[in-house]
Amino acid sequence: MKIQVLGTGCAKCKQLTANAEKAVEELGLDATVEKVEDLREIMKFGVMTTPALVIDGKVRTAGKFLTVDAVMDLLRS
Amino acid sequence: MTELLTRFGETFAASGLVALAAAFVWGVLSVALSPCHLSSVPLVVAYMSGGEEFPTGRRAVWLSSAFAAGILASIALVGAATAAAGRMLGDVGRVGNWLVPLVFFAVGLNLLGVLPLPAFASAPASTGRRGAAGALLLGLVFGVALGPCTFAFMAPLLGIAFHASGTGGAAYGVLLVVLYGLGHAAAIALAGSSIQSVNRWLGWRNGARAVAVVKAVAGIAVCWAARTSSGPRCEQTGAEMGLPVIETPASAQACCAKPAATPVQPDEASSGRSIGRTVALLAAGLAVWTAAYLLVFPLSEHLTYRVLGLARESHLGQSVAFFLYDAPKVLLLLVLIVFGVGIIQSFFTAERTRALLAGKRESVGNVLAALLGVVTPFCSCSAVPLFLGFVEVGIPLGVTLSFLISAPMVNEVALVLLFGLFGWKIAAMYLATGLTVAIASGFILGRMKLEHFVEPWVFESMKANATYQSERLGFTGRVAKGLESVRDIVGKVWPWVLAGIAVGAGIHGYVPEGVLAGIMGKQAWWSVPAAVAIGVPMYSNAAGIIPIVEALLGKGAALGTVLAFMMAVIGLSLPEIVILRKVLRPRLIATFVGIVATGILMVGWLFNAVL
Repeated sequence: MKIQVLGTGCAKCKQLTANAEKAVEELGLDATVEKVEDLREIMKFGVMTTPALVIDGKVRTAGKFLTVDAVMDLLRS
Repeated sequence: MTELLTRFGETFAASGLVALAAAFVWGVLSVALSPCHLSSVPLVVAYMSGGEEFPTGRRAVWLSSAFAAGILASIALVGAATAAAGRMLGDVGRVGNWLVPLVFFAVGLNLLGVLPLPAFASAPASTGRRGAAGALLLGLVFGVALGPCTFAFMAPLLGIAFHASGTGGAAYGVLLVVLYGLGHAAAIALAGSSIQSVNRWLGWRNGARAVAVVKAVAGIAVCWAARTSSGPRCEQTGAEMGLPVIETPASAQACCAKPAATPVQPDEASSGRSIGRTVALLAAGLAVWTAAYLLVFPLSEHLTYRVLGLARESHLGQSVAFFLYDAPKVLLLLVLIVFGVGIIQSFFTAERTRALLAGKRESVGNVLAALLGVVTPFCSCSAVPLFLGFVEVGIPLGVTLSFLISAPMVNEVALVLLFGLFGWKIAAMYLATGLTVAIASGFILGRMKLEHFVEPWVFESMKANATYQSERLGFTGRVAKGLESVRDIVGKVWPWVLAGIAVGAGIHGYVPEGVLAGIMGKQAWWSVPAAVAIGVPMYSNAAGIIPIVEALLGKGAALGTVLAFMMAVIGLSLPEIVILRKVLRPRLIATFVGIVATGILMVGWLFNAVL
């Protein structure tokens, strides 16, 4: 599983990356968490608000900070 | 309601049995009227629901009574200490007038987080044992932890008890306070005992889910109460109760993405039952809000001039009255409007706004973009992706810029504060002129054909290989969004509002009338450009700047000058310019800032000339 956090470096983006890592660890998933900061890369996902959470290439949320629990819910579904 | 309060104030002063009865009723009312005390109800609920189900019948009564007894003991201790002090010091008339305000002031500072009081710093930690002893202990600690809030309601009573023990003996003073405590505790015990009925009334059949919901509400309420006495405890308390931890807004986070604690389930949104419940809760919330709003003025007057005994003409009296009136009023307005705007914003996602703007002609596009800028959720850290997203679908540069000017400058927080502090006329003028500046600047920038000053890679084809569809929300989902915005925005700006109002209060009370007329008045034409020049690089949110602006205005500064200053501060800022530099070349940025600043300048001069 591949998880990407899109964001240009604001505080919430960093926090979301940390939460995503924690969620993966807690669920014991075999997944990589990657932070995407390059604007061109971010735009390829078609989002306009950051931070955005991408799971396996699919944008799940945008413009939203998520708690660890909320990320875990998304990962489970 | 107002009359009721005045009546109680007077009755306290009269001696005899009536006063004792009044003390008891006041105790009951203090639970019903105060958000801090109401939060003690969910706390006891959360405590009792340590298991999966709420306790019922006798056990519920027993546990909430134990909890209430704990609170009562705390209050009685405080009361006895006060009465004893009154007796020892003898000359209560003078000392009382000093001591009560002093305690009050210390508590006020503590509420503002300026002065840490050690007694209030102990967290209600013991949530481990679920017995009556645990409930008692929790109540005891909670009673002390709620100190600042308790004092706000006890202050009138303590003042009387203080006087009474000096003149009529300590026993009478103690009795007054004890009766207050009894009424207070009785109300909490009653509320705690009837949880099961409340539960049934709300129509939750699923017990476990009810426990979860009530616990979440309790967590927020307790965090709120905890936050009023000391900040960092919030996380601890919340975490101990197994709740999503609410962040403290202390760090300067530039991004305003909203935390989402509970993902909305679409199936829940469609059920009629949950809609009915949401409507009921909304109505109840609105009723509480209205009551609180109506109480602000009489309470602030009562506290300043009667409880604190400050003179109406004194500098301190004016400052304190200003603060005690404006701070709660503005915070209440903020909560309501941010909630409403949060719901409106759930209809206008960035994606939908883009779709609305795509393919519009320039002039119409500018107007629409500026209007959408008001209702679309916006965060300066998203400014660049938003810019790219707009340009990508062929929205003209000028139209995109109209949106980027209006979104931060004309926002709900600014409008609420202007409305709350100056009235609807000035709020409407700000809205109208702010939109005009955004529309006109964007239109002119579009005419100037500056596309070649946008970084070239922006126009390279960036065909999105994934698309994002924003989630679909039902009615309950939108209400949840509104609450989310309140928690996020009000949670972040309230210290700014309080700080701003405190500075404003100082100016209001101490700076003489008309002193600013010379330097910031209508006659001084240069004051507008000076205000804009100072305001542009400054970065503050509307919440911090407006209360100061109000005070300046009251002292003879001209409205145009002051509005121009405000627009410059919140509309243009150095951080945003730095962010935009990623996609715009310096020449375009300079033109952008120049034209917007000129627009603001015109607004300032126009107002000074017309009004």
